[in-house]
Amino acid sequence: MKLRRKLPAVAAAVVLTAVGATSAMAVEHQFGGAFTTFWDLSNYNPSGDIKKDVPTSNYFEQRVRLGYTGKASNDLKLVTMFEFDYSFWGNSSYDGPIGRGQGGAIGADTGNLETKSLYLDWNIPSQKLNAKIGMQPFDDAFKGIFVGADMAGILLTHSYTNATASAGFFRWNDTGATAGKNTRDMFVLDGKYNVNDKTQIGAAYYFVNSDNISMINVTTPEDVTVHMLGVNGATKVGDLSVDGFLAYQFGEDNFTNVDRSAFAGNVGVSMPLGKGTCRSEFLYVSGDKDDSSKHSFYTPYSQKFAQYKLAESGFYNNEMVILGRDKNAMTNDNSIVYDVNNKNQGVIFGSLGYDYPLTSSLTGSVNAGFAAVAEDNSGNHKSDYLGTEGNLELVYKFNENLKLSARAAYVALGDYYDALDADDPYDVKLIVKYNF
Amino acid sequence: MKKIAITLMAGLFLIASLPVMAETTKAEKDECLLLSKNCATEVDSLQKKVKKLQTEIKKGTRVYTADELKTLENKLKEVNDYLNSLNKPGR
Repeated sequence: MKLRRKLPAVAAAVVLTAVGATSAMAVEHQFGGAFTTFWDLSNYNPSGDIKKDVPTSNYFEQRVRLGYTGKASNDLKLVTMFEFDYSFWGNSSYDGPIGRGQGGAIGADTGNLETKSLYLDWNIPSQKLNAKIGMQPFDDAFKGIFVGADMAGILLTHSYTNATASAGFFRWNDTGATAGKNTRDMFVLDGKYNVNDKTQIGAAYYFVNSDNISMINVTTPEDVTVHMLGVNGATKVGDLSVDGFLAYQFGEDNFTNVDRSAFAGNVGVSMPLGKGTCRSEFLYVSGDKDDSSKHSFYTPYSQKFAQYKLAESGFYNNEMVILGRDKNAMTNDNSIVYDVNNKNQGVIFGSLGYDYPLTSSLTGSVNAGFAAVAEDNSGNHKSDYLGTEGNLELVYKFNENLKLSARAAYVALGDYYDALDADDPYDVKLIVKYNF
Repeated sequence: MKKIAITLMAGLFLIASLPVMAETTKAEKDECLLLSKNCATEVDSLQKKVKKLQTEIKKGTRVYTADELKTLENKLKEVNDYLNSLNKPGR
């Protein structure tokens, strides 16, 4: 073929290639980030100690989260999120490669990158199916009392006109010498149905199979099966919004041969009151008198923090700071009731709160709450009552990206701590938060 | 006749030049360098994206089909969920 004849064919090929490349390269880039720094004055944080003559600490803590989403189309995207923490300013520098929360000292230069999420979010419109594949955030359908964490797995969700149905598999841990042998896996079935525009009901089944996985700094491996069944719902009656759940767990601890039978129930209400909004939450979770898993509610401890019994779950709806999990806590994350298992004792938790818009850019909140163990498993305590918390919060919205806030909390310890003659814990935070 | 034609041509030339001159005046200041605005590579912040989506959803069926509105609502939920995950509490 002569060059003159070749030219049209070459030109057509170039045009086709360019069109194809343009379509393949058309990726929407979305960046997002959150910067938080606070100053904390407390006799409880960062140590988490409840004792007599506990010293007062003051420290600065910082967190940055950065996210990037690459969207090839509305139906296909890669979602990523990374985190950089200084657990407190001045802690170390030139540290690493294992420098989680480090690098806050003069000189910085520390490898403290943490990966939160890396997953593919894929819609198949013809099947009304969504698939999330990879390391992703997962929250249970029970206000976070069972599990709420980043985890690797596959979650499939099918949409109907007024309902969704999900099925998923997550590999929480794999600790054996042979991959896939000693694993802790969770299987999920979850359904939600919109009865009408005011009422939603749901049901979920979770199955955890922990097959003799080793825990760091804990001599006993975890070898349990846990079945969790629950129902949840939310509705609006006039101005009153009500939501809640009931959940039941059964299964076996294969190490101790103890059968589990545990229960949790919650109801939350909120309604406008004056210019503000009034909120209340009540939570009951069963516990054990003999510190076993018979009636204690299974919440998965992370392998790393198993020795401290810190679970990958958290109940934040009651807006507590010390008595329950603090929504502003970052790397230094302490609370009297850290998770609802509560060292196998369960919990009885009640709270009342009120949010009030003081001006168009200033909001105030006041919260009060009480907590008691459902069962005292040591028997040495004068009472089951853990304490009563009061906290105040002011949030000033400087602009749509920047918020300045102050929060102060105080807990009057209950007679559960009577023998310790401990100081009542308090915490004051001044917070700067930037989102984009 | 010649004069009229020349005058008309000059008038047309001036009118045609006006938008170009206006653009030149507007473009004299580089807002990207000065105010971090209108940059060629600018990406909407999540908050800006939420506002844009809310504005479009408010236009309702006057502008969008039911399916398109559902797509926009899904996108709004997606952005809000992402914003929440950026601020999710915990270690």
